[in-house]
Amino acid sequence: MTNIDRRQFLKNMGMISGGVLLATSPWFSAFSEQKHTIGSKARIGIIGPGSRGQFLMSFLVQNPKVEIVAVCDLYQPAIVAALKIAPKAKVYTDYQKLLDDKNVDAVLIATPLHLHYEMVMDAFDAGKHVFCEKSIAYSMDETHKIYKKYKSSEKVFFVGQQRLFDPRYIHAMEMVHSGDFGEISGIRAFWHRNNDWRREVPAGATDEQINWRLYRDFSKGIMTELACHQLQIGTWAMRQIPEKVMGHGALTFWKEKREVWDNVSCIYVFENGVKMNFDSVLSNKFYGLEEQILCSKGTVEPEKSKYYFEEIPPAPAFLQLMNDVENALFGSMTFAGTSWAPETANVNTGHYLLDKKPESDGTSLLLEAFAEAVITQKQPPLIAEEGYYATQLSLLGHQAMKEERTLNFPEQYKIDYLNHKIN
Amino acid sequence: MQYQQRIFSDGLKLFYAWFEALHTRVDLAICSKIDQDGLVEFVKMLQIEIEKFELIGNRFDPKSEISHVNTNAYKSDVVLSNELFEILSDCQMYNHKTYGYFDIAINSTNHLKPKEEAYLLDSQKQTIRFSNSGILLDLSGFLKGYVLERLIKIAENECYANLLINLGNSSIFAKGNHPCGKGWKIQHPENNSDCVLLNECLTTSGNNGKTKWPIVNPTDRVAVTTKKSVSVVTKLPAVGEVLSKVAYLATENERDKIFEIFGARLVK
Ligand SMILES: NC(=O)c1ccc[n+]([C@@H]2O[C@H](COP(=O)([O-])OP(=O)(O)OC[C@H]3O[C@@H](n4cnc5c(N)ncnc54)[C@H](O)[C@@H]3O)[C@@H](O)[C@H]2O)c1
Repeated sequence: MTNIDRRQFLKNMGMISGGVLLATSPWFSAFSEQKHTIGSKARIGIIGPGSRGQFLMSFLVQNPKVEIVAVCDLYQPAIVAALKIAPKAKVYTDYQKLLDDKNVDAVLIATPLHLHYEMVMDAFDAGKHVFCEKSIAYSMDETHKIYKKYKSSEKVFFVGQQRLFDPRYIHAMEMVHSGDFGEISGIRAFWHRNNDWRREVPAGATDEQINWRLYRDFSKGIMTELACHQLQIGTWAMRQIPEKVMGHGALTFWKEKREVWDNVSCIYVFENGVKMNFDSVLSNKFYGLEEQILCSKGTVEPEKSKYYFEEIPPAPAFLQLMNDVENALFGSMTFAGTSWAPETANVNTGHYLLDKKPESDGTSLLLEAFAEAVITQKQPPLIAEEGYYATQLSLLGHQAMKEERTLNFPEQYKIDYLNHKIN
Repeated sequence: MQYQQRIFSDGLKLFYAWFEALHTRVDLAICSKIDQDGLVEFVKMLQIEIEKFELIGNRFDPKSEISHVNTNAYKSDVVLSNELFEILSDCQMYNHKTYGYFDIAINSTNHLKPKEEAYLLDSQKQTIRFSNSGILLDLSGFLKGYVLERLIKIAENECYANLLINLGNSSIFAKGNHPCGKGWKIQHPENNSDCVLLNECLTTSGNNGKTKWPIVNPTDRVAVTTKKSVSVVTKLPAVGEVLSKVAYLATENERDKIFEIFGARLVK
């Protein structure tokens, strides 16, 4: 996204008036000093420029406020690919050495999950700002230690939860939080695929190295790779952390050469009894992925960018009127025309959340926000906490399925956030 | 009824309610300092009024008063309620004042002779009698405007000064002011220009190709086929209903004369 596109985007999101966007997505305050940071650079080192790392680099190199000064990987083909994107980057094979590099202000960690913990801890110890791909760590204990470390570090900490910057999700949350849809009655998140999730193993590499997400020691499979994105939508919408979780996981279809489940289902229960379901089967893709937010007056499907009202929907022009008045605008209303008849509204095909298809899923904005934060050295509110609970809830769900028990959110891993607020 | 309310810093409240009625949608924005319960009660009063007129004037409901008239008024005099008597008197008056372009008997199967009245009203006895067999009275192109007029009266009686009422997007009445400006700005559907309404009604009639009941020209009984819509601004919503059809059918000359009589303006 160019600067102009971004300005337009922020304008569309209501950033110009400030209030609504920042109430729903306070982390957008990362952009509040974007004029002052022109000319400054965030010097970033990439640890683990594999598939995701390279994708993120492709956005970073487009940002004039970023310089990719170093890359580190153990796998030569990854280094070769990374240098194609950032030819001037210094190459390391030992991440500790990269952390010793004084030219590096911040690191972006995109290694396999089991490696995140020590890399993030060491990065904070080395005085670096950290962007860690989701999930934060392999265990709840590690994740908690990372959060505590970040809190004591005075450094910036971002997690790769790009939906936080996705225009569809932001608009959906604005509408949910404003009460347009009534009370949230349930959240049904699912991510279905029909493939074995395997990557081809090139000569000279091992299966564990390339397909680490299929091995129990390196990943918690569906939960840490997929669920964490969707569970975060639940906490964002509800503005609450669920109290407990139950579920079941199994290996049912892709049984060969994998240790992690290909079929999981969890129920997260909030304090008021509202439930968030997460389901994933990797042998049917018909319903794809979605986070359906079911409310007393309507339903939101942010991934499809749609919403539906249970009864006749409010007229968009009247909703606009409410917003206009909030912003002290004397706007004109667009709805006059020939007669509205209910038969044209009988099939509830819903409405689009945005006027046009967004160009980005939030990843580029998330990275731009990180660069801004690194330059200003200011952590935007709540972004680390949203990431924290996304990871913890995925891990807790995994544990509940493993133990085949209902598990309450452990007291020792609660942080000062939302309903876990320490008074 | 569904509703939302926003309260702004200076204690001002903007209340928005919407529901389905008269085979269409109704939207109401009210700007006042009255609390939400009071506003809900007020909108309920309006709903009751609308329901009352639906029972009187919906010719597709066999139990409605107009259906009773349609089946019996050729055979004998039919006594009318005060409301229906007033509506049918008004329609007759509008028919005369618009050289016959506005005609609620247009869907009759029996063709009338020129100048022949479709129905005769007796104000003493408050009755109606059809002049011919095959007469069918259809209030679809009038009722919304008439009902809107009644709703405005209720709002005035209840001392609501600033509000916007939308009946199915085709009849919009704006009373008083938008919280941030004078009158209310409505975008004209055809050319996207703004039209400011202050104690006025914007009525749109037309043919979008999907309309179930097309506008029919009483002079030749041919349904209008051009796909366009016409909007008029009037003080009274019922007049808006009448004139939006006239604007479609009359010659330019006739139209200007009729509009002058009613002090109406065409939105271009
Ligand atoms: N946010 C998202 O939507 C999203 C999407 C995909 C992946 N991810 C996350 O990104 C991370 C990486 O996933 P991926 O698909 O890119 O995996 P990948 O296997 O393609 O890349 C990981 C890279 O880390 C390198 N690596 C391993 N050990 C290392 C070490 N000790 N030092 C330096 N480099 C080392 C590997 O050689 C490889 O190049 C995971 O945490 C994953 O969950 C996030």
